[in-house]
Amino acid sequence: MEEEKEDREVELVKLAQQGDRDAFRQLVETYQRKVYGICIGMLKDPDDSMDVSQEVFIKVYRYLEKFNFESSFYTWLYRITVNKCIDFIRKQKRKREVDYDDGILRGDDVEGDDSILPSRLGINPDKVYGRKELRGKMLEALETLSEKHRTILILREVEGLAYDEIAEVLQISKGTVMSRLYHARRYFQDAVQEYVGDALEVS
Amino acid sequence: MTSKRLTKQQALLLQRFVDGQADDDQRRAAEDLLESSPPARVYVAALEELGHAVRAAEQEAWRRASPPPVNDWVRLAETSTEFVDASLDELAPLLERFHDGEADRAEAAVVAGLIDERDDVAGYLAELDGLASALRQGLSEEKVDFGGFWDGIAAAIDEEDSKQAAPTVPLHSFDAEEHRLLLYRYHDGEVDQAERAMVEGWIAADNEEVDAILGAMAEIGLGVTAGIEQARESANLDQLWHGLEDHLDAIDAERAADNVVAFDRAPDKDDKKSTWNHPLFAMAAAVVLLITGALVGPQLMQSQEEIVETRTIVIFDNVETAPGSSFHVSAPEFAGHEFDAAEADFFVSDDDPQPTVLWLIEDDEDDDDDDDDIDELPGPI
Repeated sequence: MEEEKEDREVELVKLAQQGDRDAFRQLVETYQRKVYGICIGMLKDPDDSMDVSQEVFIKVYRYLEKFNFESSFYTWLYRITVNKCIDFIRKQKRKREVDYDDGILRGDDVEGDDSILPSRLGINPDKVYGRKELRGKMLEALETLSEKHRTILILREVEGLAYDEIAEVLQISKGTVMSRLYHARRYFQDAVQEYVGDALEVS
Repeated sequence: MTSKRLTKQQALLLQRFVDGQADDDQRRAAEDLLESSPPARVYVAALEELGHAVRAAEQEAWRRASPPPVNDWVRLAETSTEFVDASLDELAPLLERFHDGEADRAEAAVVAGLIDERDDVAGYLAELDGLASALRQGLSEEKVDFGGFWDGIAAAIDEEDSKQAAPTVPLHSFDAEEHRLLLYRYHDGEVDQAERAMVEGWIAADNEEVDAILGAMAEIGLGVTAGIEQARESANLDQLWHGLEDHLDAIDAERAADNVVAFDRAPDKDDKKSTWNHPLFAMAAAVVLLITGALVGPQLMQSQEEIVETRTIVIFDNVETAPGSSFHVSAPEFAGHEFDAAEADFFVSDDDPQPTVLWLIEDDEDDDDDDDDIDELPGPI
């Protein structure tokens, strides 16, 4: 089933490379939610996210003929998306002051960091999906993370990419993926506690 | 039921009678005995049964068959006498052996005689036959559903294989410091079989720390996903394609007009380099172009001729990139001329890993959609 899906995608990309607009539209419709999801996670603003999503697909269209299937189409697409988002953030000077840095890890090495994830905060699907404002706060908490931490969390948790795929999209080593993901999770948990902690107390 | 036991002489008399070897007196004595003694009748029936069996055999078999020793005849006479008066419960083991084909020749002969003599024995054996028949019918293939038969076997084989393939992992005690990254990888589905077995061992042992960390990981995943899901749900993604179409039309028109100039790719290493491709020439050409632009530009302005389009060509001899990488090019040496900086973004494809000419920049071109700066993401430039 998955193989059929991949074959169909390759076929669509080839058709789009030959100028088939309908095929390109199908690719857009297949991935627009995912691309927008990465954008909204990184940019927060819906309008900006929509604009950047469009820019991503414009760029894909422009360079699609150069794509030669050595990587999967979606990792290529995600890479363009992530780069577009980072570029947008810089342009708009919207980068938050709160910018956790994992540079102290010196690459792949995470030795020496004693901290572990604190215990549970009491988040569960019933609470989160039952209360819209909680989900909004989750997004706010995510916004407090640095670009790279937001990016890696979204690629892993939302898009479900494997470490290898994340490494390919972000062009970093697998070890760096693990270390960055580790810190991203910690920071996100801190942020959730700060932004959502009180709300979780209310039943 | 009571009866006298047959004596050895009576048994021999009856044997001679059955074999047709008795004289008239002996025959009369045997007939009297048969009339008065049930054991005598059973004994004679058993002898006749043996006779039938023997007669049914082939002549050769008969020749080879060794006659029963005298002791067997004696035992037959004793048992037939004994069994005539035995209760059905006492006979049951013998009858079951007979039914199962496990009785010896003498026992089989006795049972055959008893069948004629006792209705309860015949009934019991019939009951055994019925039970066996019912069992065979119940277990017949038509009544059994073999639908999941192979699946069950396959699952068992897989399980066995899996046990054999999985190295035996001793259940290490969980150490938060040592194993936390393992738990993260477990959460992300990035563990091998042995690691998975180790973590699942901790889970099965209700390790509180493991439970807390994995629970926290799940919360984080839920939190990130939930926030983005909500934003995605409220977005009207239908407008995305409509907004795209105009841009795509513009790109197509641009291509059609051949507005973007592409030069041939750099020659392969094995090719002889032409003079025109020499880096020094390339640099000289760029400098000449700029100087010409600087000199002619103001004159053009003074002559009030309208500048329709100004372009700058930036030429590189070799650029090493990873396939599919996107990178940013800045040429600060152009500062002070008409352009503050010549910037370009170039997307290098796998087909064209070593481009010669990178980009053609229009002076009023904004780098709106070609400006991916990926300093943040270490790229091989």
